[in-house]
Amino acid sequence: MSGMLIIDFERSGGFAGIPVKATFSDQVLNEDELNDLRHLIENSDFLLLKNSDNPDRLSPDQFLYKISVVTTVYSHSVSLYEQEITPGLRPLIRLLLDIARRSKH
Amino acid sequence: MHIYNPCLHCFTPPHLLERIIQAGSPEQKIRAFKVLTTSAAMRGRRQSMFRIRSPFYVTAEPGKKRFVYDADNGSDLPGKVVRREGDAPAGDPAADEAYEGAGATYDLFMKYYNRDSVDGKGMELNSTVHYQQGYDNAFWNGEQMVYGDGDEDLPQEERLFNRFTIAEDVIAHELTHGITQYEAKLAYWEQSGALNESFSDVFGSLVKQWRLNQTASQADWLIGEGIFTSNVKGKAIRSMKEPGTAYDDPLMGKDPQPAHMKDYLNTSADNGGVHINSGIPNRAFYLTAIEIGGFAWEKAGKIWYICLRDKLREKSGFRDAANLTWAVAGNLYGKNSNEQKAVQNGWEGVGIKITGSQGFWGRLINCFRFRCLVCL
Repeated sequence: MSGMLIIDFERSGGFAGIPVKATFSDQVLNEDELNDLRHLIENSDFLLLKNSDNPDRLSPDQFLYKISVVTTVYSHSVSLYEQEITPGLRPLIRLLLDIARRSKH
Repeated sequence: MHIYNPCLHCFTPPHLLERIIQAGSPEQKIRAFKVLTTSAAMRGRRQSMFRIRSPFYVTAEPGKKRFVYDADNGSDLPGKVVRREGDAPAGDPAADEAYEGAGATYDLFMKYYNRDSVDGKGMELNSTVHYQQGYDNAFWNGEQMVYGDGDEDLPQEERLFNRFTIAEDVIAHELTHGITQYEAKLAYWEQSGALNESFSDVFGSLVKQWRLNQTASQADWLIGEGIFTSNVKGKAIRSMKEPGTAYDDPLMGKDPQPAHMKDYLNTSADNGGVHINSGIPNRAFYLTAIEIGGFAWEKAGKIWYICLRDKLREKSGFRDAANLTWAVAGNLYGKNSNEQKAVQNGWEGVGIKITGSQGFWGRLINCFRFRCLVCL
C-alpha cells in the first residue's frame, strides 16, 4: 500500500482537560507506522463512522475524539465521544495516541 | 451462592434474573444484568431494556457500600471485584486508594450534609481501577467511577501522568459528578458544564481539606496534586485559588483556566470549555471560603451543596449560581449576614454581580437574558 495519507487527530476533554493534537502524514511517518495505520483504518470501518450528534451522551470527564483522514481516494472526518468508540476502532485510536505522545518527546 | 451458572445464559427466566439484580451479591448482580440486557437486546425487547435497571442503581439499606473492581487494563466495566465494604486492604495501591477516597467522600457528605451516597439513598459506590492501558484519565460514566493508570506503559522518563487514584480530590470530584447527576443535572456544556466541573472541584477540594483538617487559609486549593509525574513542570491539574497557574510545561502547555469573567473563553472545544471556564466559579468559591474563614466545608460548602441539591437546574449559568448561592446563604445565615456578604464578594471578585433572585432589577435582567415575552 502506498500513496498520500494525512491524519488530523485531536483528543479533548478528560479530567485534566488537556488536549492532545497531532497531524501525521506519510511524509513523516515511518514505514511500519504507515502500514499499521492503513491496516487499522481499513479494519475499523472508519469510513462508515458518523459524527456523534447527541452531546447528552458525553459523560463527565470522558474524552472526545476528532479524527480526519485524507488519502488520494477519499477524505473522511468524524467526531466521537469516548463511549461511542467501537472495539474495532480502539486499536487505531491507541496507535494514534502512541504516535502523538512519542512525537511530543 | 455463586452467580456463575451456565443456565443463566440460556434458560433462566427474566423475572429470576431481575430478582438476582435486586438481591444478589455485586458479582451476581452484574452477571445477571449482563445476561438480561443481552438477551433483551437480542430479542429486540426495547421496553424490557428500559425496565431493567442497572445493578449499580439498586439501593437497599442506608450506609456506606463500596466495591472496587479491577479492569485488568481492559475496557470491560466494571471488571473483577477486588475489595468490598469492610474488606482488608487489597494490597493494590490503586484499588485501596479508590476504596479510601470513596469512603472519605461518603463520610463528608453524610456527616456535614446528611447525604447518604450519590443518590441520597445509599447507592453502592462502585469504582474500577486499571482501566485500559496508558489511560491518563478518570471519569464518572453515569453509574460508577473509572480510573486509569496514567502513562504506566511508557518509559519512566517519558511519563507525564501517574495513576489517577493517587489524588483523593480526583475521587471526590468524580463522585460529585454523580451527585450532580441526581440533583441539579447540570448540562455538560458551556456555563452549566463549567458549573458541573466546578462543583466537582469544590467538593473534591473540601474532602481533601477535611481529611487534612485544614482551614480555608491553610489549604492549597489545588486539584489533582500528584497526578503529574516529576517530568512535568506543574504542581497540579488546576488551582482554585489561582486559576491559570497550576502548570506551565513545554509539552503540556500552560494551564488555560481564567480567574475572572473578563477572560472567559468562548470555545467549542472541551464541550464549550467546561474544564477551562470552571476556573471562574472555582475562584468564587475560594474567595467566599476565605472570607468566611474556618473550615470551608462547614459554611461555604454547605451553601454550595444546598444550592446544588435544591436550586440549580439543568441550564443554570454562572449568574444563576451566583444569585442562588447568595440566596441560600441568606436563608441559612441571615440576610446581610457575613456569610451572605462573603458569597456576594466571592462572585464579584470574579466579575459576576449579584442581582438577587427576587428583586425587581434581578427579574428584569433575567427577562432580558431569557427574552421573556411576557415582560418585554
